[in-house]
Amino acid sequence: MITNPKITIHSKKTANSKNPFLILLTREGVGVSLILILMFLFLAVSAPNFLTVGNLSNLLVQSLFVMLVAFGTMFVLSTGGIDLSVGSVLGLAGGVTGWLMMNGLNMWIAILAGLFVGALIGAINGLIITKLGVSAFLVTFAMLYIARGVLYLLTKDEPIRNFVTPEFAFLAQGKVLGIPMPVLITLVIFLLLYFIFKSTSYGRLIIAAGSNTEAARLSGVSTDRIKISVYALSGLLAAVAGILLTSRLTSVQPSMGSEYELEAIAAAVIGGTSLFGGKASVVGVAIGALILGLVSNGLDLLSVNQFYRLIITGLIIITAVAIERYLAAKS
Amino acid sequence: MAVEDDHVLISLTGITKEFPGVKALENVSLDVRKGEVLALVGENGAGKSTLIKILSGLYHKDNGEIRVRGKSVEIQDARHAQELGISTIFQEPTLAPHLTAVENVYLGREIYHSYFGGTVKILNEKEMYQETEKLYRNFFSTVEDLKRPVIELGALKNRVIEIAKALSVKASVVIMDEPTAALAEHEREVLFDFIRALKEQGVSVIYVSHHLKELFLLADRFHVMRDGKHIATVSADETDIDQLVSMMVGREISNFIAKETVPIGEESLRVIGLNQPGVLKNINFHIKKGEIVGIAGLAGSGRTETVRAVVGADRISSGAVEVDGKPFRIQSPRDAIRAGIGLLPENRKLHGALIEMSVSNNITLASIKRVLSKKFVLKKKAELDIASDYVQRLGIKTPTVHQKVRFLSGGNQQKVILAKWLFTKPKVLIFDEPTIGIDVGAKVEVYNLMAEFVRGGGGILMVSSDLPELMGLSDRIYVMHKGEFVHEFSRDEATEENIMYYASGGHQ
Repeated sequence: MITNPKITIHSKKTANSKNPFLILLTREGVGVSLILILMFLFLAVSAPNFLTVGNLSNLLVQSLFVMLVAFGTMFVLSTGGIDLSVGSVLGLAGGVTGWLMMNGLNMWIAILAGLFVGALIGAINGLIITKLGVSAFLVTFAMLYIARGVLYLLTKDEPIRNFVTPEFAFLAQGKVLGIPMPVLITLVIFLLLYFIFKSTSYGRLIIAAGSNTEAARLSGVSTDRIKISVYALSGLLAAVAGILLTSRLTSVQPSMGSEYELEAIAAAVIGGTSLFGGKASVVGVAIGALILGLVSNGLDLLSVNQFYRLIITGLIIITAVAIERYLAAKS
Repeated sequence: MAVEDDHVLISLTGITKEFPGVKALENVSLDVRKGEVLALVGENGAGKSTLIKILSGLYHKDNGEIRVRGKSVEIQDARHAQELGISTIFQEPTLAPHLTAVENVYLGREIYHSYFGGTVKILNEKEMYQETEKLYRNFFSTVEDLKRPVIELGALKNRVIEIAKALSVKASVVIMDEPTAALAEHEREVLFDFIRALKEQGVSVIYVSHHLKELFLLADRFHVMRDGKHIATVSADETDIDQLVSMMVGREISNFIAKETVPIGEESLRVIGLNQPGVLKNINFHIKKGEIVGIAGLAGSGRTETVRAVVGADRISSGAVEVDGKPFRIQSPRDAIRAGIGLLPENRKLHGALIEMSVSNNITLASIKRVLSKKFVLKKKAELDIASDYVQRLGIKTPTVHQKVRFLSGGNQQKVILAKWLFTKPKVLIFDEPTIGIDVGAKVEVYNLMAEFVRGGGGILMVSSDLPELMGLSDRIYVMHKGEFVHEFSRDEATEENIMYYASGGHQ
C-alpha cells in the first residue's frame, strides 16, 4: 500500500494561498463587511442624523424585506439557477393574505395560505425547469408576469385595505424587548438558513448540484429534487417578506414588490454569490442587503436625489464582483 | 551535440523555471531537428507542459537560452512565438465552434479587400478559402468541409483544422499536446498520416503524449523528462517501452501490469436484455465476485452507453439488473448506489469529481447519509477523519483534505473518485477508461487498488481503449460492435488481433 506521511490533515490552510491578508479577505463575508463598515463610518461622520437609534432601526427594518427575498435568491443562484418571479410572488402572497383577511378569514390561516401560495409557485417553477428542461431564466420570467397578473385580478386594480387587525399589524410594527418584530423574525430565519446551508446535508448537496449537476447526479444526488426545493424555498421566503411588508404597509398595492427580484439579485451578488452556482454565503447576502439599505438611507439623510441610488447600486455591484474576481484569480 | 547546426531548428540550453515552492524545470536542454517528430515524455509533473508553455510564449523562462535557427531569442508572448515559427496545438480544442474551417484558420488574421484608402474593409472570403484549400492540398491531399461550422465535423477534422491553422502562419515547429485524446482508433491513424506528411515537408513536430505505444509509430526521438529534469534523449530505434517507462519513473517497473490470481466467487452482477433504442441492443452479461471483466470496442460502439445505462444515468427501454441474485430497479445513479454499483466515468473533471469542491466533500458525497446525525446534520469531524483515512489508504497526494480537487493531478483525482465509491461499500465498481490521461506511476497505483478491490470480493467491469491494459487486467473480455456484445473472450483467448477483428465488425 502507498503511504503518504507528509499530510497535515486538519489544517485549514490550502497550499495555494499564502498571503495571510489575502486569506482573511477571501474568508466568507470579510470583503463585503469591509465595504459595509467603510460606508457606515462615512455616513456616521458626514450625516448628522445617521447615528440615532430611530434611524438605525428604521434602516435595518427597511433592509429586511430585500434580505429575506435575497436569501431565497441565494439558494437558487447557488444551484446555478435564477428566480426572477420573487418580486411578483412577494406581492401575490401579501395580496392573498390580505384578501383572505378582508373576507373575514382567521389571520393565521390567511398567513399560511400566503406562505403556501409562495412555496407552490416556487415549486411549479422548479418542476417546469427540471422536468421540462426549460431555462430557469425563461420560466421564472414568465412567472413574474403570471403572478403579477393574478395579483391585479385579485385587487381589481384597487389596493386591498381595511383588513388589518392589531395582531396582524404587530408582526411588522410591534416590538419585543425593544426590538422590532421583523428584526426578530428575520434573525431567526437567518440563523436557521445559516445552519441549513453550512451544517446539513441539504446545504452540501445544494452546493454539489450547483457546482456540477451531472457529476452530482452520477454520485447519487437527486439533483432535480434539490433544485425544485430551492425554488420552493425561494418562493416561500418571498412570501414571508410579502406578508411582513403587508403588515407594515397595512395595505396591498397591486404593484407591491416590483423589482424586488433585481434588488435581491443585487444583494446576493454583492454578498459573494456566484451566478454560475456552487458558491454562496448567507452572511454575505445579509450584508449585501444591508449595504443596499445603507445607500438608500444615506442618500436620504444627505438630501441627495434618490435617482443616484440606482447608479451607486450599480457601481457597488461592479466593484464587489471585480474584487471577488481579483481575489479568486489571486488564490 | 554531434548534429550539424543547420539541422537544428530550435535549441534550448539550461532552461530553468521556478514557481513559488516548486522547481518546474531545472537545467533542461533540448533540440529540435528539421523534419523530425520529437516525442516529449514523462509522468505528470515532469515538466513537459511547463516546457511547451515556455516555447509557446505563455510562460517566461527564469534562466537559460533559447535559440531559433541559431539566433538567441527571448520569447515574449504567444504571438511572438508564432512569428518565430512555433505553433502549439493544445489538448483542449481552441476552435470557435460555430465558425467554419476557413474562418477558424484565419481567425484574427482575416484578409480584407480595402476600399477608399483602407477606410472600408470587406472580408476577402474567396482568397481565404483558396489559401486554406491550397494548404489542405499541400499537406493533407484532401479538401473537405471547409465551409461547414466546425462543431458539425467531429474530433479528427477539428484536429486537422487546428494543424492547418498552425501551418497557415508558416509554422516550422508544431507542438502537439495529446492530439489523439478524443480520437477513435482509425482516426488516429489518419492523423498520423497527416503528421508524417508534415515531416516530409520539413515541418518539425514536438509531440507530447502518455501513449508510449502510439509514439513508437511516429517518433524519431524520445526526450524523457522526470521531476523537471532532462533524463535522456534516445532514438526510437534504440529503445523500447520498458526502457522508456523505467527512465520516466526512475525505477524499473517490472510487471507493468501484474495480474493477480484471485479466487472467483459467486455471481455478483447480472445484466439481462438491456435495450436503448438506436444505441444498445439486447446487452447480456455477468460479473462474478473477484473478477475483472473488460469491455472492448471502438469509440462509438456503445461501451460508455452500456455502463451509463447499467447505473441508471441514462434511460433504458428495457432490461433488468440483478446484484447477488436479487433484482433491482435502477432508474437513477442513486438506485445504483443502493444496489451496490458505482461508476467511475470516463471524463473525470466533468462527470467524476466535483473539482470545485474539497477532497473530503467529494469522498463523502455519494454516501452523505453515513456522515449525518439526526438524519440531516453533518458530522464534520467524522467526515474529515473518514476522508483523511482514505487519503492515507489510497495514497492520495494532496496537502490537506480541504484542498479543491481541481488542484490535484489526474491520477490523484481518480483516486479521490475511487475513494468516494469505496466509501459507498459497493459490490461492483465500473471503471470507464480508468487510467486515461494518467501518468505511468499513478496507473500502476490505480491497478493495484483495483486488484485490492477484487481481492476483497468485489467485482469490476472495465471499459478501456488501451488494449494492453484491458488484456492485462481482465479475466474475461466482452467485445462490442455497434451497440451489441458480439463476442466473449476468456483471458487466454484474447489477443489484440482477435479483439480488433470483432470490434471492427470482422465477424459479419
